[in-house]
Amino acid sequence: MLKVEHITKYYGDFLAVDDLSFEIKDGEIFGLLGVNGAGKTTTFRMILGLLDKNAGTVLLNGKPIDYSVTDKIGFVTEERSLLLKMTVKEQALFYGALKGMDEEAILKRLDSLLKKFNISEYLNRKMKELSKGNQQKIQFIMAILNEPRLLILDEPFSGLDPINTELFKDVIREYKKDGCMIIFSSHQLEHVEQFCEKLVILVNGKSVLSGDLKKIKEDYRRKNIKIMGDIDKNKLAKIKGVIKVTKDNLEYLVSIENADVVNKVFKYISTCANITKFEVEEPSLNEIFINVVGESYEKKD
Amino acid sequence: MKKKIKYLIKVCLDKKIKTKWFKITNVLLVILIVGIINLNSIVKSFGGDFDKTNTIYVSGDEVSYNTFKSYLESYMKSADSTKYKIKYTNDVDKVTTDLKKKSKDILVTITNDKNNISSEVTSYESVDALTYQLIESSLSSSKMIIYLNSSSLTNEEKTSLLSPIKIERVYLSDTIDKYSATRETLGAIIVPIFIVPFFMLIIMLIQFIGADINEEKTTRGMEIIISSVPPKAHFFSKIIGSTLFVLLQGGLFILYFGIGLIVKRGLGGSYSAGTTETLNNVLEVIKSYGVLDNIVPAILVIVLLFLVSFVAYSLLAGILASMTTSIEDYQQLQAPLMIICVTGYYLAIMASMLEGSVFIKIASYIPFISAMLAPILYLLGQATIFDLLISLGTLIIVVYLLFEYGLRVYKIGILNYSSKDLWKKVFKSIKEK
Repeated sequence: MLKVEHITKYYGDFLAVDDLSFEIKDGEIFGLLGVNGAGKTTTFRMILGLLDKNAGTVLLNGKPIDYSVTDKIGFVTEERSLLLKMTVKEQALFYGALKGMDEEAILKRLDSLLKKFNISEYLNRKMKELSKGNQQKIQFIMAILNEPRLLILDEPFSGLDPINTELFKDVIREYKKDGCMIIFSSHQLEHVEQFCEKLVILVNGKSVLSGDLKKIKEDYRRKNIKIMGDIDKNKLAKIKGVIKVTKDNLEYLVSIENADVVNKVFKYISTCANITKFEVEEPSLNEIFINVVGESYEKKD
Repeated sequence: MKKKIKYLIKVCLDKKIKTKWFKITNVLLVILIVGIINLNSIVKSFGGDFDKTNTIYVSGDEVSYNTFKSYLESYMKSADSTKYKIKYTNDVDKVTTDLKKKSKDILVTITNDKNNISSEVTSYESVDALTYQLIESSLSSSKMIIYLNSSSLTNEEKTSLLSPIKIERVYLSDTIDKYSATRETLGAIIVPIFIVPFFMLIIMLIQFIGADINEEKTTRGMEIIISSVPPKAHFFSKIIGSTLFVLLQGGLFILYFGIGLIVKRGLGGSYSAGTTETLNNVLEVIKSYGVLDNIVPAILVIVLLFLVSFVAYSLLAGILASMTTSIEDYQQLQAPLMIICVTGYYLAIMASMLEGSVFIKIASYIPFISAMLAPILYLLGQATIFDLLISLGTLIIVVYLLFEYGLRVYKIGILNYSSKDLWKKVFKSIKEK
């Protein structure tokens, strides 16, 4: 289990991370979200021990993270962290050795991973000769080469096409199944929604929303209703509790304050003609994120 | 962790050695060094006008000709000049006509009247300064010997008159002795042998460390590396790896120099005219300073001074590289380091010219330039082994401080990708434990 307790980091007078706490159990995927500059990278660096904390502790299985346990941690950085002059094989031997693996084990593991990601032919290619997507695959392979127990993924799908994104997702799910703790960060929140059971949203280094994703959605009172049919948009918008009505092609998306408003909307819709769809759904993580982050910025201003 | 550090050192060395550019550079270096040492033979092997032997025709009576020929041959031998052979002529007109055909030959006409000996030197173009000086000296000597032979002086009187004046040189100053001229030669020999290769290796070291750290930093590979090994271990591996590399390259320089000398000998060349004599004189000078009495501990201190200086330059280069965010920034920041190095180089050259300079002596204690100055001053007899130890001690203190405080800068610097408030961050990191 990874336990992050009250970690704080200042860069000079600038507060980068403010009293952040969360915990991840074995086999859990945790979402660390925030806009650019929110403190995600600083948090990752503090977890890995790259940066000294001003306060707080990070415990992996009850012990502080030091260089005796980093061999079992994998890290995919947001920007490519590949040494471009090296070949794939040289890179694997280099990073593998730094994770305490011997040459034979590295090459065996590399072979199976290259096959899994369908890029065996690039074994002796230099990094700079590879496409952005293939570089990302190699970066991911390097992070899981040592079969980590804690995997930190910062924008892991960057530069990938939909097919390879699915391939990555499958591998991440396999790791979750094997009990690996995964910290996942992405600006594509639909991916986070697919993976993460728990998350934290950072604004200016401070946690503004955290906890179980299901509960967050439940607690987030707003709902959406999707309607198809001949309706008067203006009349719908005037119903008390309706926040806004938008039209996307033939479908109306009605944002409501809480579940109590559903009946009022349904009552109006019953009077309209040609209604073919009336669907109440949970708000997306994207919507929650925009709302929470927006509110935090408004409060700050 | 030791295994990882060893591996990082190996990678650092392999990155420099196991490249085609290292092989190409060293092939070029061996060709160039051997070529420079044997430049004389190479130039001669291509031939040219210098290779042709021309003739100095001498016209005059038998006594004048024989005396002049004898002196000229003797002088030419001393000057190592083999450009001319000497031949008698009684057909001045024919030789003069031949000279007009752009000939390099020379006609020396000696007129021996009973009252006076005069001469005319005829050539198509101007005669080179050395040859003309040899002809002039030979004519003067011939004139003197011919007059003496025709005089009524006894043989003893003639011998006494012809023998050179015996001069006893007396120096009142303690610092001037019979080897003062050789001392300049000493400076001219030591600087290229010790300082130029050291200077070259330092420049290589600075550039290699900067490029290495910058590559890992700009590609963000540093984050993965530092998440597996502590910055201290990473820093150490870079310094040890790069220092080992320059020592290897330095060893190769010596090997190439040796090959050059063997080739020179194989080609039948001497180590240039007067080399043995010069080297003997240099050795005599060094002996006269008493330098050879402590040569073993002195060599040990000098070797340590070189090694610790490499480490000091590595540390400084590594710290500077960690602060920069691109190789271009580093290239700008390494300029002061280069200037420090160049200052040491010029002061080392000046040391043999400005003997006893207090400024140079103080400078020889200053780290980063002490490795260039202190050994020179010691070999010139201007510093003692105690001075060498002071230079080494000062250097070790600076290396310790660089390591103690520089590592703090390095730790923060390698993960810093912004040049905003750079110096503020540097000074802050120094204060942080």
